[in-house]
Amino acid sequence: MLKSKAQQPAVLGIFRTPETLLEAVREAREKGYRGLDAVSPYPVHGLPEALGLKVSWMPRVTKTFFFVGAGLGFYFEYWTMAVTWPINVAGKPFFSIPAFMPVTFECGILLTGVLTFLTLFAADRLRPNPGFKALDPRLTNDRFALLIPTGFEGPKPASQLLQEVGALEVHEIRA
Amino acid sequence: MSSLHEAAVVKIEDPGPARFAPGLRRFWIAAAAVGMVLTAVGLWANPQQAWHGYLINYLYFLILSLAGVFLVALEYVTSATWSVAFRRLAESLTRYLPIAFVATIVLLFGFHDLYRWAQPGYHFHRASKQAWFNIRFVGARALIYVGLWTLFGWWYVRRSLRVDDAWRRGESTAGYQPRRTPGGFGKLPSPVGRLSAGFMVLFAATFTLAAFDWVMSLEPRWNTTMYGVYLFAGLFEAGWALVLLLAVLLRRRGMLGGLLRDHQYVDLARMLHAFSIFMVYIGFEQYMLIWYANYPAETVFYHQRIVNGWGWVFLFLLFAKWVFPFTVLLHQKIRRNEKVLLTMAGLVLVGEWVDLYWLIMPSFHAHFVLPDWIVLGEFLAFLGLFGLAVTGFLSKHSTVPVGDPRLAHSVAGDYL
Repeated sequence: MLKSKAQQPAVLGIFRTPETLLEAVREAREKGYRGLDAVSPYPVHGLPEALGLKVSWMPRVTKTFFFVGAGLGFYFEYWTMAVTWPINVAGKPFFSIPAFMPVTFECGILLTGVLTFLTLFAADRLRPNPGFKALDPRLTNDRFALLIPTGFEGPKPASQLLQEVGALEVHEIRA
Repeated sequence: MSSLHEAAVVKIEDPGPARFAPGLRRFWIAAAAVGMVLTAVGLWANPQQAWHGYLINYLYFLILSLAGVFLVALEYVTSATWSVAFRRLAESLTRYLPIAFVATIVLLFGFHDLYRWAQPGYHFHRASKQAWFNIRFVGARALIYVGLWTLFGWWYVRRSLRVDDAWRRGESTAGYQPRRTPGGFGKLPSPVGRLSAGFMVLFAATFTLAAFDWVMSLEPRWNTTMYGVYLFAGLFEAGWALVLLLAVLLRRRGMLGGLLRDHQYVDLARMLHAFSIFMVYIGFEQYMLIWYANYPAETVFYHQRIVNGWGWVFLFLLFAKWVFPFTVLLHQKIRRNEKVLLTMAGLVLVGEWVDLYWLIMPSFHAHFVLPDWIVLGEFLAFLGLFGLAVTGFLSKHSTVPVGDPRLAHSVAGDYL
C-alpha cells in the first residue's frame, strides 16, 4: 500500500465518508494535482474514474489464465481417460466431452484464482515487510484518505485544499 | 457506507409518462386482432397444433410478465438501490398478468389436445400421480398460481404509484424503504420487504409446480426435479433482457428524463451476463446428469429433442442463451454500447421463445418443423396484448418511480 508514492513528500487528508473523499478527489484533480492516491477500507464506486486511473490489465491476465487452466484440465482428462489408461465407464466413449466439462471448468477456476492472486502480489510487489508502517490504522476500518504528492511549491497549498474540502485531519508526510 | 438520509446529489424531475408514436397502439391492436383470427382458424383447422402453439406463446409472455414481478420483489427483498431507476419498467411488465389470467382460463379448454394424461383411459403407475393429474385439480391449481402472481403484481404497482403520488403532493417519502432502522438498532425489513420475502418462497413453490403441470407433464412418464429451475433460469435471463431492451429503447427516445445513466446499462448488462451463465449451468447440469446415468426412462426426453433435426435447435439455444451473451458482454466497455445491448437482449429473448418451442413441440412433432402460420398467428395475438398492456401502462404513468426515496442514489450510482 502506497509504498512508492509515500516515498515522496505528500499531504494526507483523512475523511469520514466516501462521498467527501470523492468530492476531494474531484476538487484536487480540477486544481491540477496529478499522481493522487486514495486509501479506502472497501472499493468506492466511481473512485477509479475520479482518480483518472487507467483500466487495469489484470482482467486480461485472468482471462488468459482461465483458458490455460481449462485447456490443461481438459487435455489432462483426455490423456488419462482416453490415451494412457482408458477405462470403460458404463459403456461411455473413452473421450466423452460432457463428462469432462465439470473438471475442465474447475481446473480453469482453480488456476485462475491461484495465479491471479500470485500475479497481483508480484505486480504490486507485496511481500512480508516487518518495517512497514501504515499511514493510519483507521484506514482499514472506517476512514478514507487522499494522498496528494507535493512538489517544489511545498505542502501548504495542498493542505489548504484538503482543509477546504472538509478533511477531518491533514498530515504532512516527508520522504 | 453512504447514508440514505444525506442530501442526494441528483435533483429528481418527473419525466412524466412515455409518449409513444400513435401508430404503436394501432400496431398492437392490429397484431392482436389478426393474431386472434389466425388462432381461431387454427383451433378449428388443426386443434392439436394450435393448442401446442398456444401453450408456447402463452408461457412465453407469462414468463416475461412474471419476470417483472420477480425483479420488483427481488429489489425489495435485497433492499437494492441500483435497480430503482428502472423499476417502473419491470412494473410495466406485470400489467399483462390479468390478461394472462384470462388466457389461463382459455388454456383449460386445451388440456384434452395437449396432455396424454387428460385423455380418458390414461393411467399412471402411481395412484398419487393419477390423483394429482386430475383435469379439474390441474385447472384449479393453474388459476390459483396465475391469480396469486397477478395479485402480487397489482399490489406492487399500486404501492409504487402511491409513493409517487405522495411525492407529487410534496410529502416526504423517506419512510417508504424496504428496510427501516427502528430505534437505531440495525435494519429490519419493513412490511413490503417481509411480504416480498414471502413472495419469493411462494413463487419458488408455485412456479416449480406450474412448470411440472404445464410443460413437464407433456411427457407424463418422465420426471426431473430440475424442471422448475430450468424454466426459472430462462425467466430470469429473459427478464433482464427485456428490461434492458426497454431501458435502451426508452432512453434513446429521451423518455426516461436522464434518470437512467450509463452505469445502469453496465449493471443490467452484468446481470444479463451473469444469468446467461446461470442458464447454461442449469441446462448443462440437467443434461449431463441424465446423459451420465443413461437411464432409458430419463434419456428419452433428450433423445426426442436431439434426433430428427431438433438437435440443431438445441445447439442454437446454447449459442443464443449463453455463448454470444457471455463472450460479447464480457467486456466492460461494450456494456455501454446501445447497439450491442439491443442485439444481445433481442437474441436472448428470441432464445427464450425457441427454448419453449424446443421443450414443447417435440412432444407433438417427432421431426423438426418450423413454426407454421398457426403458431406465428398465436404469437402475434399474445404480442399485441402484451404490447398493449405494457406500453399502455408506460404511457399513463411516469417511466421512473420518482417518489422512491432511493431513486436519487440509484441515479447517482453511489449505492455501494
